[in-house]
Amino acid sequence: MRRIESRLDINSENFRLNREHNERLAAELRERQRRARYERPQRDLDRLARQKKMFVRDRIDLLLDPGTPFLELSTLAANQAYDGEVPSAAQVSGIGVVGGREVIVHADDASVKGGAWYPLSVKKIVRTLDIAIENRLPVIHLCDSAGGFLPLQAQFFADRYYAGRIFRNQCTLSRMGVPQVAIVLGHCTAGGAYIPALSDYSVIVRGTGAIFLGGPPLVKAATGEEVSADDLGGCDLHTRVSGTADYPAHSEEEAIAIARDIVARLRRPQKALECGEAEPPYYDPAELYGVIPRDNRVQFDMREVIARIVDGSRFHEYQPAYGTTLVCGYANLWGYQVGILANNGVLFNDSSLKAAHFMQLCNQNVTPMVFLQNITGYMVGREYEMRGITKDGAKMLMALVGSEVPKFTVICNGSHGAGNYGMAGRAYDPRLLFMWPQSQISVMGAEQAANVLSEVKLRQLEREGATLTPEQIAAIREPVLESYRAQSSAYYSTSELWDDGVLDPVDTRNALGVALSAALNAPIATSRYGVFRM
Amino acid sequence: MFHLFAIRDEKLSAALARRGRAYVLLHDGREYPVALRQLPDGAAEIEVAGNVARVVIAREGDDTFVRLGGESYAVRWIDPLDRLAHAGGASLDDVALAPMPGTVVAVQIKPGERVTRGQTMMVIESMKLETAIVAWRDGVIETLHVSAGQTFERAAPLVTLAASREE
Amino acid sequence: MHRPIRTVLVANRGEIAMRVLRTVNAMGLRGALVYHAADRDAPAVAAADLAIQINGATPVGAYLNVEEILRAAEQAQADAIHPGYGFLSENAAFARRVAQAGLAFIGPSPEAIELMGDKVRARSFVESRGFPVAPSAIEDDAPASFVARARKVGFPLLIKPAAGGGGKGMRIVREAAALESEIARARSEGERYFGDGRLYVERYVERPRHIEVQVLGDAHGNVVHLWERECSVQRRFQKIIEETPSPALDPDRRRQICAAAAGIAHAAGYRNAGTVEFIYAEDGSFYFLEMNTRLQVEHPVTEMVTGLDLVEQQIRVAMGERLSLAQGEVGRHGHAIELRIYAEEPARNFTPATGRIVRLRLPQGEGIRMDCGVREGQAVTAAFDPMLAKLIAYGADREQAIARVRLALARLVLLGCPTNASFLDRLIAHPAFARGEIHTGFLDAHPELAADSPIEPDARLALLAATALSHPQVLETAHAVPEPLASIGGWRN
Repeated sequence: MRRIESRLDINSENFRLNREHNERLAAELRERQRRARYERPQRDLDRLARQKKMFVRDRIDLLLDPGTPFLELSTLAANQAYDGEVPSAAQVSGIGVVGGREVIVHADDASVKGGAWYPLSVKKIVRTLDIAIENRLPVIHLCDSAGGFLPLQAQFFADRYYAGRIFRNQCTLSRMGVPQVAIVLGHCTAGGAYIPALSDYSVIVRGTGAIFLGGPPLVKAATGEEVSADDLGGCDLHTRVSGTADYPAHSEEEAIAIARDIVARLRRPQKALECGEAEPPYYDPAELYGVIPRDNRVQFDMREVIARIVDGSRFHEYQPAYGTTLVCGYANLWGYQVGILANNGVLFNDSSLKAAHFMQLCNQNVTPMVFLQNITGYMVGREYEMRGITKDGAKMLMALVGSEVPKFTVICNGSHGAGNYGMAGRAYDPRLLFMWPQSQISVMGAEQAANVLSEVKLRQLEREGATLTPEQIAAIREPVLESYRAQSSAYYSTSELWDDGVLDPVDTRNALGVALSAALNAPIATSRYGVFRM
Repeated sequence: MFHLFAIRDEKLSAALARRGRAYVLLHDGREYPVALRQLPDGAAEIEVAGNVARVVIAREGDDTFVRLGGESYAVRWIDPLDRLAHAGGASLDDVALAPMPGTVVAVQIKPGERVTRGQTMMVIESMKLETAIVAWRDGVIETLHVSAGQTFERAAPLVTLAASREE
Repeated sequence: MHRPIRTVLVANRGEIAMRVLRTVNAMGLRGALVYHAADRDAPAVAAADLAIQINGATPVGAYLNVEEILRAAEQAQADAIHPGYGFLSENAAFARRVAQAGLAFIGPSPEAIELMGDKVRARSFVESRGFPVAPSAIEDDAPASFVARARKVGFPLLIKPAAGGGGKGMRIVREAAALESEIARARSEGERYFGDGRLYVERYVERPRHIEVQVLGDAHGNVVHLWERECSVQRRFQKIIEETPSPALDPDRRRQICAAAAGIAHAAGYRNAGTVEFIYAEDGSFYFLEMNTRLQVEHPVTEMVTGLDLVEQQIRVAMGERLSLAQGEVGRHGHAIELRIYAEEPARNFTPATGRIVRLRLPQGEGIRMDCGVREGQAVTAAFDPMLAKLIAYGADREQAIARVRLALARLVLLGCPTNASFLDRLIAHPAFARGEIHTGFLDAHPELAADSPIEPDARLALLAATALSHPQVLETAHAVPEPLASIGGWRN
């Protein structure tokens, strides 16, 4: 495989300005994540201390194997919801290693509103378990929640993918033979009680852990019975009498040690693919900061990005001369061979066909795919419709949905319109999807949307014989631009859990390495496609 | 979770991780590349971040004996489950509960008496079957909840041992 | 009269059993050994031509069980019994029973044992023959006035049990006020340990040096001395380091002390090997302490400088042979030092240690000798005295002997049971030891030597690394992590 020859002038003014801009964005991302992870009102930390409970991140540190990676997902969930009072949606979720085994961790954060489940918390938990199902990852639940946040129950209770889906997913995991271990470190109330009940193994801490379908206040209201949380559903009741929990523990540390010992006993599956020798990229990944333009309308060559992510910066490009706005080919990433598809401009007929064909090659070759998105959309216009641009875009979707190899998507800059779909956006089931801090995601670009809407208004007024003053045009455009800016940023996307996290570009290689390794816990079936409209 | 080791009176936490084919030792917030090479004469070479020393190592159960620099050391690996299982305070682990409803046939101990692990404390009868309630650890009888001839329900407390001291 | 000895039964254990059997083999004789089940893994059991199990109420009790030992001797068809040191070696009744059974007791006559075994009798005997003894008061002389006479001996003084020996049961009293209560305590200890509460009191010499002389007599009235040994480095009267020649003696003093020892042995009609012990004061005066009527633990240093095999000499004397050397022919070359390797933890107040010996590598080298009573795989238990081995080094001079013994200590590998090996090294490395400025209070004067050297950070890391890379549980956790995660390492996003 040939090494990509970088054409970047890392000493240019442009590079320097880009780098400074992106380093600032990366620093901002780190700061936001730090606050979401660690900043809590003192009274909440004091309450935890009084209850003799550990902070969720300390629990996770004890749980994980030292010296191993932890890919945290959706750290900034709910960052633009609930007045910003529910950092990370009161949940910590991530892929890590326990006792040498890859697992996915789902942890309630009791330092945020007592660990209550908000609508986005439920969405995050469901997403975590969906990841577990698709990748056959054992789940470790760290349970410590006050229960559902009742004022917003309409947004998390009744619908198909709301809270009920959590327990349905647990049953599905069990059916598939994927084990779950629950560590009850606080209350598991109402629906939450099902989490340990539906886990294959459960550990409960004496004194602080409790499992009950109805808590003491509800019981008192329902039947008048007065009973303490411990008597109603504490450690000894469930480990000695009811059999709902398996292992009693004196302390959180002991509970976690027991959970680690359980995970160490679990059977290790065959990975779907073996990895070979890894090699760091030839070019410094930190140069990515200089590759990404500070103005997101400026085009850049995705090969420069690929060169700073893949092993040895080596890339075997497919159809190098055809459909040049779509760059694709094979590369190694942490020793795994992957097929990369990346945008160098708008998608035309030829680039769409090339993409659909390459996806089929990857499936034939049992090679996982990595999509690097920077797409404003497909080419529009009469000439392209005549050539069948709509059919060709459809072929990409058909290829995606027929694919059985794992797909991973990184939105590097723009992700707009049908291009988001064709390049394996969220709806097309990439195993994991990440965004870079400066990226934008919306049905069309903000400018374009503003232009379209003011164009529509202009036509309408013209028919009525009026014209628009520049101020009136501005009055139409500005609100559109505002709302698009607010709702198309990476931070908005991640707040709504449209993605699995915002990544510092330099972390992309490691994140994909962990993601790939995790994904290969699931077997890869043979692909089978629908009908490609030819 | 880190491993816990005891050398003389010190407890040290450390972990071993692989980096490709090599190893690193994680200790005190830092990572040290380490390697152990066997020598033909039965001794070995331990390398830590470039410093090499000659050692003789022999292991027995959870104890690793190391001769290093003219001194002999014993490094004990402490199983976290053992260490943490004893770290609780008084708990229901100190109480023997009746496995099923029945009657007390005979009581062989009194409050304040010292018992050893495996010692029969009382005999109960249920469904025409006699069961001995046996001390699960060394300890002192704190409370006798039942007396001979008394009947009891399932999960009723029978004997409480005084809480064992925290580690 | 010559009596042939073809089979020797060794009634002892540990390193001395190995040591005696080695010479028995070298002489072409058959070696039999008694052993208690607790010693079944000892190397001596395998080294003996015939090993016979004996029983007793306790493991130690077995080696004190006269009936069992005599039964074993009969079974082995032994002609002689070598009692080693400790146990029954200075038990006159045993020596008589052995003789009655028609066997040779490889040691002195029962009478000599009795004479020197009673410390009070021994002391009077020596004094009456004109040899120097320390100012003292003997209770038996006039029990009523004992305390008053003791006070007159002057302080500091040493209270000693009449039936004691080997440093056991002695108490130092520095103030008159404490005298009576210390006497009471010493008496009850004497009754407890020796079955005899009689006492005597001796003036205690400050910073005394312990100098002893090896003597050897035959059945024909010949006695020679085989020069002296210095055993001043002691803890609670137990010897730790012994050497010859003594750095304290000039040739004249040496001659005087050795001649005195030989004279005492001759006066007692002493036969076979023995040791006369003296207290040597800073002013050069010396006093008879006691005589040990057996082969001593530290005899190897004498062997190294004289070239003689003392056990062989003992056996020949027991066979009735004349001494092969006249006094003038007993040569002396170079310097030898012996260190006693104990299973104990000096840093924890010398508490005895136990453990299974998982690795044992004895040091080799020029002038190095190791008399070892244990082998790899053997469990060290609290059943017996904790001495595991003796490390002896010979050099052209004291400096070379010290250097060689330190090298041997560095090469010695004994893992699985804590020992005093690094403590011994700290002792010998001390500049005062190098200068020969030793006395029986040396350890009390330098208590810090008993403490473990602190572990340097580099050593701590090396220990953790060595352990982690050998311990299956730790390796398993590391190996369980699959690639590429192991290579990605401790990364977080």
